[in-house]
Amino acid sequence: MNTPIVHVIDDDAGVRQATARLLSAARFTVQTHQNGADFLAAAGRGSAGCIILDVRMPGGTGLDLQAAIAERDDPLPIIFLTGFGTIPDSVRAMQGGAVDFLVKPVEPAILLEAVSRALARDVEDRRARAHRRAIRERYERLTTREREVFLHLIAGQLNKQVAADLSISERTIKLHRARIFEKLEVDSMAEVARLAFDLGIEPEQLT
Amino acid sequence: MLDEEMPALVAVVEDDAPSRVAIGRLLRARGFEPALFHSAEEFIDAPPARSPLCLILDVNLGGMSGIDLQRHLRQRGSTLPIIVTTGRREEAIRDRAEATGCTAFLWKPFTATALLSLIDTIAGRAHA
Repeated sequence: MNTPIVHVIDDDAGVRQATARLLSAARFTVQTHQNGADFLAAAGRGSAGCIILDVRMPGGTGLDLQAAIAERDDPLPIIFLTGFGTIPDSVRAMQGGAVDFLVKPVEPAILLEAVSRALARDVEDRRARAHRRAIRERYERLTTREREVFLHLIAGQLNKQVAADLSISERTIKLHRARIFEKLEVDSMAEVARLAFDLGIEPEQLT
Repeated sequence: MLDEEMPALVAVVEDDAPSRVAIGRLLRARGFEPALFHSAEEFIDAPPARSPLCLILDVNLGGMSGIDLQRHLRQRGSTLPIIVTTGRREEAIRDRAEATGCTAFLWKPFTATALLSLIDTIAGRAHA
């Protein structure tokens, strides 16, 4: 597994250095960036970590950067630093990756704790995304017909009802069902129900 | 584990209809009886007829928030196990949920397995 990197993005060189020193002393691996564009150019996709970001950076504000990060396939959790009493509503409203809002000046212990939480969150996010990708791949193995049968099954229909709805024999439904279980790598309807939930598939799509 | 005649009731307060339906279906597939509510107010005004095994509670509900509903229940001495969930990403929300007495906390989108294993743990405790 790759070492998580704490990205510190701040236009103030003094702040960058001080923050980096604090984090390094606590054994975190740190990269500093002057602005969002530098970060986006430097940070490899798919690498683990989190971001510490000053909301009030001039030019291409923190919020714009947050939007750019949220559009990536694997957005890193963001710790926002804000001035006292200046947490704008727009920040609150934007949920594309922010996990913490800390008011400057930030106590070192509070920042370290927030970084630990953000890194734990990144691990969780990554695991969830990998899980979703894996089941999505399995689902995509299904043929159009199998997907139809799948939707009926997760709606709680019995083989007989599915057969009637799709005007095919019950025996064929059983064969489809066996193929669906095989392709999805499941052994029971209970597992199929869990998988459908994680895929976010609605049997209502049937109409 | 479960009562043989009557499946355990699991209450869900969730304003997003597709999520509510999906959670309900998942619970039913697992042998629970879901009691679905679209708002905190609805849960207070017309609570489930029998006491639920637990409550799955969304935070952002339009009207009264999930956190406020939890506070309301705890202030009245309710020991109902509550699983708080939210799609917002702020750690502060988890802090608030924990400070006001949630049993467990789940970030959305959560997996079926994550939710069901929490409910199993709660059911195990209830029968211990």
